[in-house]
Amino acid sequence: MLAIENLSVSYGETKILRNVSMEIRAGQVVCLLGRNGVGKTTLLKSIMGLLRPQAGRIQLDGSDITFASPDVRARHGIGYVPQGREIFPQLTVLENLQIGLLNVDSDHQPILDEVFGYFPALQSLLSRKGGFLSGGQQQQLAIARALVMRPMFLILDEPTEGIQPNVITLIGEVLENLKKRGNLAILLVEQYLDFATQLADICYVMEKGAIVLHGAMGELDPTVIKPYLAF
Amino acid sequence: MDSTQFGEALSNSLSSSSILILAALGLAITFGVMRVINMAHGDMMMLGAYTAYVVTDRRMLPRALNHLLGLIGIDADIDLNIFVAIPASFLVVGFVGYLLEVCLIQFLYDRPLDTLLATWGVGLIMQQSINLTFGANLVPMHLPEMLQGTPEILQGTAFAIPSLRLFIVGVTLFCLFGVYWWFFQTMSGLKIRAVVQNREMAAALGVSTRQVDSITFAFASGLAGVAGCILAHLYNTKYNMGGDYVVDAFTVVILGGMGQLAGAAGGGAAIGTGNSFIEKLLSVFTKMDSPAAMAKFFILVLVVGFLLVRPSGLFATKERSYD
Ligand SMILES: Nc1ncnc2c1ncn2[C@@H]1O[C@H](COP(=O)(O)OP(=O)(O)OP(=O)(O)O)[C@@H](O)[C@H]1O
Ligand SMILES: [Mg+2]
Repeated sequence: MLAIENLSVSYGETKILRNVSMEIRAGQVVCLLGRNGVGKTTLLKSIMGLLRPQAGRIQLDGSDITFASPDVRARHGIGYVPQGREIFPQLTVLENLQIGLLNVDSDHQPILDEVFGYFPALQSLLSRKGGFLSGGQQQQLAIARALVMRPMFLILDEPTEGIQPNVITLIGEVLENLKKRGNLAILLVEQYLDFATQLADICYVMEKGAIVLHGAMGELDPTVIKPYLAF
Repeated sequence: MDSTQFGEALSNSLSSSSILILAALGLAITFGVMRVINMAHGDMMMLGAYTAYVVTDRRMLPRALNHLLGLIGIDADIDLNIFVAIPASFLVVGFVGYLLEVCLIQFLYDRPLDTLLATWGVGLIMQQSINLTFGANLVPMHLPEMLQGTPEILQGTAFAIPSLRLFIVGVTLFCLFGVYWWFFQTMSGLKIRAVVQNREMAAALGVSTRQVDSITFAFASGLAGVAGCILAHLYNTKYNMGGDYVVDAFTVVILGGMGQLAGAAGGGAAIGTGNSFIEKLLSVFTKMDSPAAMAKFFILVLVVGFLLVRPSGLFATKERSYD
């Protein structure tokens, strides 16, 4: 599904990612763990095309997308739920979802009904401006907005950050459900280890811009991972 | 000030407000969507004026058309006027804007100073090529009969506004309404608003920011073309007129609040009206030589004073931050 080979990314002169390689198969949930500032968001932005790599390749579903623009990647089937949620503040909840639907040709209503099934709270907020939602509501909207695009590959950047426990549970259930459907690949960035271990099949650990550990979730010993998460 | 003088000031204020609104609307759109300050915007107005000349002057396009029709045996006497010139200016200048965005400006996003210099340079090139091709000055274009004079019901009242100026107000309202409808009632407008609010996220959701940028830039240029076309029907125009108008348009945009559409409308109306009435009052009561320059000065002082009190302009966005 997604293959990253020796990716290196810099901000100006500062090299952030060093030779990162990663592979994600259809139906897999892969989690990427690591401390603040190690480069997790940088990697996701590079996958989405918001940052240009200095070296390396990214392949999606067999085609090389290393230099494709973000909108092309989105239409190719990558859904992005960014850190900080990035809801359009002056657009209503419905308009935020409509942006996700712009490139969907099939009938929109069943797709909307499906995401309202996942996140019932959104349905009563449709005409509210995105900027006036609470953090938890915005997070649900951000996930819903990515899901209406019918992605084959979903990227989530710390979806539990600053969110109250019952919404975290809800998000966990939704991701569990999506995983059960089996055709969607998910890359989940987390610092909340318990949330990640419940969902993920494969785990990558990042330190100073490089992958230092990876393996099947069941085979990795939490006591080995923990030092890479502590502050 | 008697009622004739009031009528004169009123009709001046309507046309100058309209021109300022159209010019500032384009600038506000390019700034709001692309964060680009287009120094060639005034020269786009100049191109609109010269397009009006090419379209309406009997020796230019009408003669060429008549000649062509003559070749195929039709004895035609085509006479094109402002009703054709306005859409023509919109399309011609919009196309020039599209080329400018695609060939140059797209490579300079995130480099505001370079964009400023590059668009300024492009403006100079446009001025000289027009000067060399069509000459330095234009006299006002001829008007169709229905736009000459003042409507009968208004004659003799304090609202004796010439038909042309009423028509101009109509065109401006039409453009304002059109922009509003496009931005707030259509899916392509939704894309534009998403790009304005969060460019990266819009792209990550599949919005082609390239397409949004080139289309909005072309449209904004087209509006400048309409403003220039209208000017060409009111006054003498010249190849380097752009410089004067770009400053006025920027004043409007800054007064209105950078990148705000309602600001461009409100600011344009405020400055256009203020300018015309102050000028009239000065000329009636002080008999000074150059009331126009003095009025401009007063307006500038008022705008600066207003911005000291309210730095974000007439219409500042109020939004709750994300967290
Ligand atoms: N726009 C930027 N310009 C320069 N440096 C940046 C920029 N954004 C991030 N960085 C730097 O890149 C490094 C990696 O940042 P990144 O956001 O990828 O970390 P992260 O792993 O997502 O952290 P967190 O867990 O806090 O979200 C950090 O040292 C950060 O300071
Ligand atoms: Mg991050």
